[in-house]
Amino acid sequence: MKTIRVLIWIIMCICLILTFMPYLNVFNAPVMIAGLPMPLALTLGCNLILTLCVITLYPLYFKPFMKALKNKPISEEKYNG
Amino acid sequence: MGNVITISILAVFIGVFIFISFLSKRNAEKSTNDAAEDFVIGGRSMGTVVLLLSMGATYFSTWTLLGSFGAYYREGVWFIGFAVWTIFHAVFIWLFGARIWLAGKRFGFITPGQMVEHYYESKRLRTLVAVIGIFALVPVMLIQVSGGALALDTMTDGAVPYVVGVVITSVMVGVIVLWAGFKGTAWTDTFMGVFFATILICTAIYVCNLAGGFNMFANVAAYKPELLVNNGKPMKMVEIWLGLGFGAWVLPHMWQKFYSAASPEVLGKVAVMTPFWNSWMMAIIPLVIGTAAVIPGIAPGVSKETSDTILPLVFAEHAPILGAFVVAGILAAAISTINSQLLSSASIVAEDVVNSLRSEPLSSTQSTKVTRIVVASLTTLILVLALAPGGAGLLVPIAALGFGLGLQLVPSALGMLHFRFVTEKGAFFGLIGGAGLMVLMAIFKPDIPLGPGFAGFIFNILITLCVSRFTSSVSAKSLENYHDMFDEYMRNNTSSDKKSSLVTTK
Repeated sequence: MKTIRVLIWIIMCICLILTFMPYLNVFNAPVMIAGLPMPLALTLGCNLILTLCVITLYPLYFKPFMKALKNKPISEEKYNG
Repeated sequence: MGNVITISILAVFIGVFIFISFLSKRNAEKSTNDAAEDFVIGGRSMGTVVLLLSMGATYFSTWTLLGSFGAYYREGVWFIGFAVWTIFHAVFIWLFGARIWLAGKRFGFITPGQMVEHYYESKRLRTLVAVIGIFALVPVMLIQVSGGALALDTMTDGAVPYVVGVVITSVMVGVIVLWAGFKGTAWTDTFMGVFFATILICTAIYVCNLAGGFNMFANVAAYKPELLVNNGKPMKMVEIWLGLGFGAWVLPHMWQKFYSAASPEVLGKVAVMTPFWNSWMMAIIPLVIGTAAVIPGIAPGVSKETSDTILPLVFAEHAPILGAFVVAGILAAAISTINSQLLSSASIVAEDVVNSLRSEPLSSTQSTKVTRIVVASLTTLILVLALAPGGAGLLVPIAALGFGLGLQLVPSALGMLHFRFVTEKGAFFGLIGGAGLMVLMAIFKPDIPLGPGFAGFIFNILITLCVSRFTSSVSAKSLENYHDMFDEYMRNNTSSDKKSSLVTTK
């Protein structure tokens, strides 16, 4: 699971960097790709991958968190401030 | 005749609002929980659908229905970077929201300031966070009111003037919050979110079809090809990323949404659904309509100056009879954002300012009473500010000021949630330095490539790092209460087959 987590973070970082490329005039040519301007096509493609990565957060992070809470419920203390 | 229909639809819309508020108030009255906890964060009982739609409707506002269309019209595909960071809102729910929820659940916090004081053991930092939080929310609240009223004025050709629109929005917000508290705002947010999302989706399909369907961008290229290449300005986009990205969790009204979740399961499901709502719908639909508006006949009369009213202009031309729904949608967007901000600001004043100045803490019932008084006072203040000269105008720069101030809260929040090395003095002086520089830059407008929010943020981080390096750490008890707890539940749980510390310690 640790390896998958690392892999997901690497993919997310790469996508984030790619979406920033058009701001540095890379992947920013005035051509159409599948009916979309190049910088838009790149960003939407990365957005799609990022969406898939986000979906994996639930099994990779939230489920273990829920399990940990179930195994050891937190002791609630009222803060009077 | 058109105005009669508009006013009738608005009246029905307001009636639905009041009915939903009534239902949520009745539901809240059945609760036996702590009064302040119920009023301010809905008794920590929010489910997935209500929390998702409430967070979305709160975050996306008049700015989405007016300002973002204008931004795409003026800047073209340059502005699409915004959609990327709305995806990261989901990541932030894990990185920050889940930790905020866990600490809030354990210690019963209802405001961010309470958590700050408890962790850093610092009243001054709590007060400073509260004051900055309120100043961060005021401009954003203001644009909701002025934006809604401006749209109402445009759509009705002045039959419902700006002043009347401001009064309707402010009074509606005040009534919902005073009457039904957090549950009222969350339930009405849910209704409003669905309402304006429906308008956005239908409009996008209609406009896309009108603009040539799959050939839409080719048609846009025939009129303004420069909109289809990115025009650079990377630092400006970084500033938007940071402001709008971090603003999704660090601003007090969003922070309190995390406290309100019923369980981590709810937060997890909200995170999974966030990209579809925040990015694919709320950030990308304005791209379609905003860029299509450059094609003649889509939004007649639009110019750079009037680009914040593209949506009303589209309806005025193509479906004037349905224009009233757009006006109602814009009002919905405004009210759904400002109601959470108003409740949050009022609870901050009651809990973090009034309560912390008293030797004897307010009881829960007294605190709720003070919160209600502050709600009424803030509503009046917003009303006055919206009617003052300069209350309206282009929306994005004003909102950016609020998000920029919110950004200054990030280093101290990161100290509580992730970085043990941040000290009380580091967080305090960093916050003062960052917010101070931002205010100075906003006043004197120096000619440098960084905007006030970003420059203040960098300065804030530098001060926080330097001062933390040479001052004493937060107490061992705080580190144990927060960071050890986060590690135990959230960090050391990698393998599901578990040899996690929490199991071995039992």
